Amino acid sequence: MAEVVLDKVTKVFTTFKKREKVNVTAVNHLKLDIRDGEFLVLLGPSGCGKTTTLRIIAGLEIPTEGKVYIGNRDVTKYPAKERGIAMVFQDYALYPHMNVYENMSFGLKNLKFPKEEIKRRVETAARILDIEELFDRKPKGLSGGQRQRVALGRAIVRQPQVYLFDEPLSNLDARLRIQMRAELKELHMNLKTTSIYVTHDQIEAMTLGNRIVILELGTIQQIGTPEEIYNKPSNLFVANFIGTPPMNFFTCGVSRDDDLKFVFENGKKISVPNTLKNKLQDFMNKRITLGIRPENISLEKGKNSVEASVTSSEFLGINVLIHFKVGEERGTIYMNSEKATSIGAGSKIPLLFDPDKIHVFDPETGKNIGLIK
Amino acid sequence: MFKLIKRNYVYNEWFWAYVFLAVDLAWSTLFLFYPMIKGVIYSFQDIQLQNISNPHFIGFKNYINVLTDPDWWHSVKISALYTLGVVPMGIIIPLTISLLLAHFRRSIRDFFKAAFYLPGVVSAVVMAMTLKWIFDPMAGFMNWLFSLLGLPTQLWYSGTSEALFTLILMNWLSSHGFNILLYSAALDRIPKSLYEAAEIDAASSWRRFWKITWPLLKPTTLYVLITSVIGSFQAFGGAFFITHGGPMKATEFLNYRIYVTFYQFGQYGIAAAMSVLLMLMVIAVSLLNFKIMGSEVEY
Amino acid sequence: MKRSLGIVVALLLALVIMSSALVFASTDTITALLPFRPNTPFGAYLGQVFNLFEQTHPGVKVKWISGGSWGDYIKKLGTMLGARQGPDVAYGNANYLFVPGRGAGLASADSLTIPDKYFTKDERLGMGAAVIGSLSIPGRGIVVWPWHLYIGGISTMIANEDMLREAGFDPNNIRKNGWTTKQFLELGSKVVKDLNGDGKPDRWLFYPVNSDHMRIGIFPIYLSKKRPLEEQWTLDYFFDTRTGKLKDPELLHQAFQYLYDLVHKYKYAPAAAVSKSMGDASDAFLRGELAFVANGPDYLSTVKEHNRLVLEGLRKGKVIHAGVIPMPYLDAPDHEAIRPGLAVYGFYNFKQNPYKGDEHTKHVMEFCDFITNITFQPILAAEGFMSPDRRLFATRYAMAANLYNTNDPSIRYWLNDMRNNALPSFSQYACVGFTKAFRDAKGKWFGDSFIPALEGMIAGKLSADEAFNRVKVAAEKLPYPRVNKDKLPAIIKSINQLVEEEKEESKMFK
Repeated sequence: MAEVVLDKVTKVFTTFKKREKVNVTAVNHLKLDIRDGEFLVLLGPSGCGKTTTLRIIAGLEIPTEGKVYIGNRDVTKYPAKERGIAMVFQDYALYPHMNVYENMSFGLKNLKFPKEEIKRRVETAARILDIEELFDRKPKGLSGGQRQRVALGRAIVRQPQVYLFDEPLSNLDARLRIQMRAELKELHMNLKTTSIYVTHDQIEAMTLGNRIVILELGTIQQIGTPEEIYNKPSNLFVANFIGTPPMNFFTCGVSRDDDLKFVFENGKKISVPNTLKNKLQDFMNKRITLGIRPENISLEKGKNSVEASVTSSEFLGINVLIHFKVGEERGTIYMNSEKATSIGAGSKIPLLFDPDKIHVFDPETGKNIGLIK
Repeated sequence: MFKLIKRNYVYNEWFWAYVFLAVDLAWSTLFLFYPMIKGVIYSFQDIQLQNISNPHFIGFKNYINVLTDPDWWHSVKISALYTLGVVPMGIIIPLTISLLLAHFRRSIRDFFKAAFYLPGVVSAVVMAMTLKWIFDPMAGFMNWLFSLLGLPTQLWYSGTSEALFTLILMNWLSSHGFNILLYSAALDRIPKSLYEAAEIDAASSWRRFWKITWPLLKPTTLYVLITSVIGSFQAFGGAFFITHGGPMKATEFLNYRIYVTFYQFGQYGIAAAMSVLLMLMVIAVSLLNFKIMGSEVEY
Repeated sequence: MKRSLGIVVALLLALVIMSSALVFASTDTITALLPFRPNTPFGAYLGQVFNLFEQTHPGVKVKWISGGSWGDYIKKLGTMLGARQGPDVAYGNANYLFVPGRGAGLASADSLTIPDKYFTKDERLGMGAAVIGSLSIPGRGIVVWPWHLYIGGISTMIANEDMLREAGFDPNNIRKNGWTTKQFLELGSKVVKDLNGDGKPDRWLFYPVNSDHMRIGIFPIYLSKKRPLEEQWTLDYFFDTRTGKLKDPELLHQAFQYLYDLVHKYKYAPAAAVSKSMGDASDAFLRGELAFVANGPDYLSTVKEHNRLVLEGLRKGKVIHAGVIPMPYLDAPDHEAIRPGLAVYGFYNFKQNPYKGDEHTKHVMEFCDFITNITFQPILAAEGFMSPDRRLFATRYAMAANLYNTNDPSIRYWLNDMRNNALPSFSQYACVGFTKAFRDAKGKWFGDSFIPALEGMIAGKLSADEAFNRVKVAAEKLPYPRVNKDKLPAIIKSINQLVEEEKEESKMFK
């Protein structure tokens, strides 16, 4: 078990396009401390550099700049096998010509472990994962979930200092994914080994991670617990990326009548919550982006309510997701489906924002103005 | 009848499937199966140039004739030696080249693949003539090179003990293009993540080759093995274009012997029996290959 | 039900396709397989003759299949015969029709019969030995008149006369008086040279390639021995046709030693050339690297073409003056100068059945009459088809039967001479009729023992003694060539009858 530290890691890929050399920066001066025993999730859209970061930690890529430490050891130049890590691949990367037992024992054999020890470890791992019955089968004869378990088992038998997961659940169907997610979580709680997990699925990230790192264009957007990420998005990107359906955004001006007010495009003014008043001083008469999650809007008429017109609605069971427009800006809210029967396209509804949950972003830098100290 | 067909079949894909299959079947019946069956019939007949108008069945006499002929067994030996010389290299060389090529970027790889394949596109005669010149014992490139390096010049295909090896050498030098394409394609098909997994599993590059690459290339290797065994058992070009089976029958391959028996001795029945025996041999060797290699192959 | 109907329809369709592929056009076509190319002077001449035939015989078409090289031609002929799709008319001498390859054997005596009823006496006289030769192929009873003279390549070779003169030899003198193997070696010492100074010769007497090593290295010793006429005419150089034993083992041994010495003792022929082809040897001859090549006289036209290209600057190289030279003879008491033999070539009909009056066979016979019509012969001579060389070397060994009617006195004289001397040899044909078993075994002996032993010897793997012993041991294993004794008297009788008629006929010229 060990900590993993990335110190200003940069990775530049050189490719050729029409015989022209093109440099692509996949990871840009990344600084990251991963604590011992932590389950850290690297989250971001595809192409954000999360997989490259994981591969740098694994030793499958050598960083262009910067250093990688695992357990206080500088392993930047070490080959993968000397880093004490185990990796679970997106396509599982099971050796198709070996049976399950051989797949799981391959690494230990390479490390010249005694036979009895290999047997003990493989059987233990298999018991944990409930795949003892499958030893003689080849990967071709396994279901997706079973393959996933074998891939996990192969990592477990190594008893590594760090587990690396590269989108391991993305090839499973939705139901299996939920089940495996729970099992992974349980596994981590039992093994308590540092784990780094790459995914583009925010639900996986939220449910699995002790902390989540949100990456975009090779740089860290935010590091935090799931709650922090959800409730205190550090910038527009994070706010937009996390949450389904995403946060609603409205472009507003800030003006002072009797009190500090947000001015909507359609002229409607609502009061700025007290917590934000100080921070917004600098934005007087400037445009800001107001963000609020759908669940923080209630359909009540009041002094601070904004009128919206419904464009369509989606029935989701208990709730109905209502799409609306304020001026030209679109948004969504949830509504209890029983209450929503009378609401159809074209109806006018009042939106009342929970003042504590309003986020304000600087449209130029994207920063969450409320978090600036 | 027409109406029936029109209503039910003209737009029925099964009907058209049979029509197209029928064309193919007629074609192969006419040009493949008929000559093959005819050949087998000839092998049981006394038929030769001198009594072509009067063939008659003589049972297994042709086969007995062939199997008791020491020259036939000499040719079997020559063909077997040639196969032993050619086939392992026919796997090692293309595999090595493909493995080396895998490290280059695509455009370079494609260039080399095309370059290696080019000799296969050139007509066999041109190829044979070029190789003949390279190994010419009197004015050839190889002997020029040897004398430049201060080595004794060789007789190459003109020497009784060197001729077979020279033909094997020519094969090593010239006929790997297609197998390189096969191996390159097969290597491309192996997921990169398997190597990464193996790297993390602490497998040395040697073990990565033997435990990942080699087993996953087995279907390709089996294919290459069988086609090259068949090909080298039926070797003919070198003997026909370069050595004429000589000197002193040093390169008289089975196929060349069949050719000589048929066209030069005019003994059609015996040549047909030889062909059938060669076919049986090739089938037997292929089955053996399947048995040895095929058991572990994942298709 | 539906599907099975589909299968039936499909199978019917397959049958229709197959049968239509097998249907042939039903117009009467005479196929002629000839080794001449239409774009040569003689080819053009033949084309005109064929056109004339088609014009005078409406409804009959001549299909001319041209073979490439002589080897290709023989192969093509063998293949067509093998497929029982023999042409109506082909061109060649009897020996080639028997065995188109290295196993030189003749047909079984069992089948040697003469169907008199199909030919008039004049026709048979005209056809000469070739009749008997071709008749010995069962089922192929019809032959038309031979009329093309050709010098047998076995007794001659093509020489680079420039080299001969340079070494002080007069080619014309050799042609007239012959020359000895001793002289041949003396020539070798002057011709074989290292011209570019790399310590290795780059000019040789000849390449010991297949057929050249036989002709230049073996036959001179064998052919120059004085023998009774009938023995000379057996057409088998190595075997006694009566006993099936090697005819003259000591001489064959000597011939092996002679070839061995040429290659290994004197080094006048490069051992390394053993696996090269005749084509390589011919090319080397054109490059001026060889003094001799054992090609037929038709090779002279290739040399002529080479010279034209060189003179017109289209090819690099030197003009080569080449000519036909007889083989050297062994300098021993019982040997004499070799006189080049003349072979007879003609057009043969290969239809399986003898003439039975059907239309097609009638057309073929008419066609053969037409193309060999005596009125065309002067045209042949005028076209240069028969070169003066060829006449020069005509000897008593040759026959050109139907040419005797020509009005040219000189031709008439030597043709007559040939007839008188050659015709008695008819009796020998009965003797070359081996049994089929022996013929097969002999063909195999030649291909599997004789040639490989020679090659082994040239390649330096075997000494002359070892090579000869191999050949001898293999020859001893051949089965006894028992001719069908019941048929033999009848055969000999009919041949003798023919000879008698031939003699009577020849008296007219005296």
